Amino acid sequence: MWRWTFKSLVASPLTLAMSIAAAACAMLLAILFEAIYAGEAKQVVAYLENADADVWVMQGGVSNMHMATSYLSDWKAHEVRDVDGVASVESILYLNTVIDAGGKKWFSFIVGLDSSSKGAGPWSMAEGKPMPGPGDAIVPRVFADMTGLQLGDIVAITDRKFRISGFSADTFSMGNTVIFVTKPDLEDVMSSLDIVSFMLVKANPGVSPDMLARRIESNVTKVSALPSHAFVANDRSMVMQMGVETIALMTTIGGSLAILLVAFTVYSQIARQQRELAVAKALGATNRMLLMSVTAQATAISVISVLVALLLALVLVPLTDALVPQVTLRITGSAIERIAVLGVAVALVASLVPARRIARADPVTAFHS
Amino acid sequence: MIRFVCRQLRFDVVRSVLTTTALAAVVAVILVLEGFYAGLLQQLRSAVLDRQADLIATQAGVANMIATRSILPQFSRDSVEAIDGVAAAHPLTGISIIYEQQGKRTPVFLFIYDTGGGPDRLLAGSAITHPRDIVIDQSLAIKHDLRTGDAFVVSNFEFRISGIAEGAAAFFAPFGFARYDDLIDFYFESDIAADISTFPLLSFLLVELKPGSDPPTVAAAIEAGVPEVDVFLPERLADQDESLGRALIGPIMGLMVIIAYVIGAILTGMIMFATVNARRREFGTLKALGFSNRFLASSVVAEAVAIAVIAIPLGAVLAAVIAEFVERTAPLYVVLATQPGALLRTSLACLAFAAIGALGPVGLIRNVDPVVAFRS
Repeated sequence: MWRWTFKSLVASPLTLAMSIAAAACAMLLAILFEAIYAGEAKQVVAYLENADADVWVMQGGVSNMHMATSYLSDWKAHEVRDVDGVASVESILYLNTVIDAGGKKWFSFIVGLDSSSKGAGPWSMAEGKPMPGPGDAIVPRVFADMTGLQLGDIVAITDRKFRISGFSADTFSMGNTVIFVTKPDLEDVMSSLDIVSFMLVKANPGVSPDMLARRIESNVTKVSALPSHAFVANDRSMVMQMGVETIALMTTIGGSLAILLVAFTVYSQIARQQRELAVAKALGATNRMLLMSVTAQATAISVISVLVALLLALVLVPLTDALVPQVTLRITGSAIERIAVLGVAVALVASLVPARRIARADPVTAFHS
Repeated sequence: MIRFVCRQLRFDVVRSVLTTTALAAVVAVILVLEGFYAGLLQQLRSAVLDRQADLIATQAGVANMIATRSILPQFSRDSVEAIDGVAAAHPLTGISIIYEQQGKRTPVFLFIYDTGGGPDRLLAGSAITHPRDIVIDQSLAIKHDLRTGDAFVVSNFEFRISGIAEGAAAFFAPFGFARYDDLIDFYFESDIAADISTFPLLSFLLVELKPGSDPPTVAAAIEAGVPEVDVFLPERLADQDESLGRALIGPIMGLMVIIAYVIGAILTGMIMFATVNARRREFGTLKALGFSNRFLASSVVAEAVAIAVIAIPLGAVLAAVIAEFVERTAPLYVVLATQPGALLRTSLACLAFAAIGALGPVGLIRNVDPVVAFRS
C-alpha cells in the first residue's frame, strides 16, 4: 500500500511540486512574520538584558523603563550604596524623545552615562569609541547603514548638537533604539540637575538579587527596586503592548491565511485523486487503507513544505537583514515547531474531507464515465 | 466566451468556491496589513489635528508632538500672546505615565491642558469640571474595565474618571487628559523632589489667531519674536508626526506588506496554475471538440479574472470584518482596511497576479493532446 501511496503522490510531479510550493509559500509567510515578531520582541529589551545590573532601582511606583518617567534625587545613590549586600551602584539619566540624525527622525531612548560608567554603556561596538565624551553621542550602527552617517557627523537631540563618536551594535529596534551620551550633556538637554533616573546595582557575591531588592526598598524611602529578571520581564510585557502587539496581531492574521492556504492546497491535491482512490476501493482497498494513504500523503506534503519554507527563510533572512537593517528577524525553533505542527494538523484535517467522501462512496462510481 | 467561463466556474463549484475563498483571503490579509499601517499613521495625525489649534508652538528644535520631549519656558506664553495676530496661546503639556491595575500595565500619554487642547470626542461622561477629574481613552477604559466615576490611580495619586474619550490614542498608547492644577498636585505628591522644574510644565502652546490673521505670517512673527519656540501649522506638525511614524513603523509594516504581496502573488499564480492543471483532461476534450488553443487560453485568463473579480469584494468584506473585530477587541488600534488607495492597489495587483498566474498554464493547454480526453 505504501508503494501505491508513493506512486500516487508522485504520479503528477508538476501538480505535486505546485502543491508543495504553494503550501511552502503560505508557511514561509507565517515563518517570516514570526521571525519579525521574535526579532523585535528580543531586541526591545536588549539594553536591559545587556546592562550589568543585578538590581534596578527607580522612583517609587515605577516598575519599568520603557516609556516610563523616573526621577530620583542623586543622593539616594549613597543610601543605596550603604545597604548591606550592595557591591556597587551606577546611576543613569534617561530620556525618551525624537532625535534627528542623517536627515531622519528616530524615536530613541537616550541614556546619560557617568564618565566612570562600567556596566550601563554600549555592550557591543561596531566602530568608534565605546564611551561618549562631552558633546559626543554613540548611536546605533543602523543609523549609518540607513543614512550614510559617519563618525564625527552631527546628530540633534532637541536643539542640542552632538558629534557621533561611536556606532554601537545590537542597539536598534522599532520600539527601543538606544543612544548614549554623557550624563552632564543629558542634564543639559533635560534642564535638570542632581537627579538620576535609574540605578544599576551589583550585589555582593552570594547575595540574592531578589532579597537585595527587598532590602533596598525597606532601607531607602520612596524607591522601587527590582531584580534584573523582573525588570526585564516588566519592560518586555510593556513593549509588547506598544507596537510588538501589532506585529503579533499581524502575525496571527498572516498565520491564519497560511493555515487556510495549506488546507486549500492539500484538499486540492487529495481531491484530484478522488477517482483514483475510488478505483482502489473498487479493487478491494479498505477505507482504513485509503485513509492511511491520504493522511500519509498530506503529512508528506506538509512536512516537505515546512522544510522548503524553512530553507527559503534561511536564505531570505540574511538577505532581508542586509536590505532592511532596521528590522531584526529571528527564526526560532519554537516558531518552526509551532508552524510545522499546525501545518501538518491542518493538512490532515483538509485531506480527511475528500477521504471521507471516498469512504462513503459506492466503489461502482469509479467506473462511471 | 462569458457563457463558457460561467459554465466552467459552475462545473466544479467546490473548487471554484475554494479558489475564490483562497484569493479573497490573500486580498483580505494584504488589506488588513495595509489598514493597520494606515490606521497608525492616521492616529498620529489626529493626535495633532484634534487639538484644534491655528498654530502650534514647540520648543525650538523640536518638530514633533507625539513621543518627544518639548519644554517651553513659562514666560513664552505671554511672549507669544503679545505677538500681533495672536488671540490666545493655550498651554499644553505632554507626559508619559504608566497606569497599573492588578498587575496590568499600560503606557498612557497624558495631555495636561487648560483652556484648549482637551479631548475632542467624548463617548461617555463629561469633560473635566472638578479637581482631580481625568478623561481617558476608551481603549484604556475597556482594557482595565474602567467607567466614569471610577478612581484612576497613578503613582499613588488618585484621579477620578469624568469622561471616556473616543479616538484618543496614538503611537500604541491611549491618551489621558487632565488639568494643570492637578498636574502640579501630582508632581508635589510624587517622590521627587526637591525641584519641581525637573518635570515638564509646559510642552506646547496651542495658538488661537484673531479673525483675519494669516497663519504663516503670524507663525513667522512668533518665531522672530520668541526665539525659544518653533511654530508649525497643525497640518505641518501632523505631517512631521506621520513622517516619524513612517520612519519608525514603516520598515516593519512595509516589510510585512511586501512579504504579503510577494507571497500573495506567488500563491495566486499557483492557485490558478493548479486550477488549470487539474482540468487538463477537460481541455483535451474541448480541443478534441474543435476549440482552438487561443479560445481556451483566453477562457482560462477570463476565468481567472472572473474569480479575482469575485474574490476582491469578498476579500474587502472579509478585511472589513477583521478590522471591525480588531477595533472592537483592541480599540487602541485603528484598522483602515478599506482605504480607496489600498483597495485599488490590492485589486489591481490581485487581477494582475490572477491573470499572470492563469497565463502560466496556457502552455499546458497548448501541449494537451486531444487524445487524453479519450483515455480511460
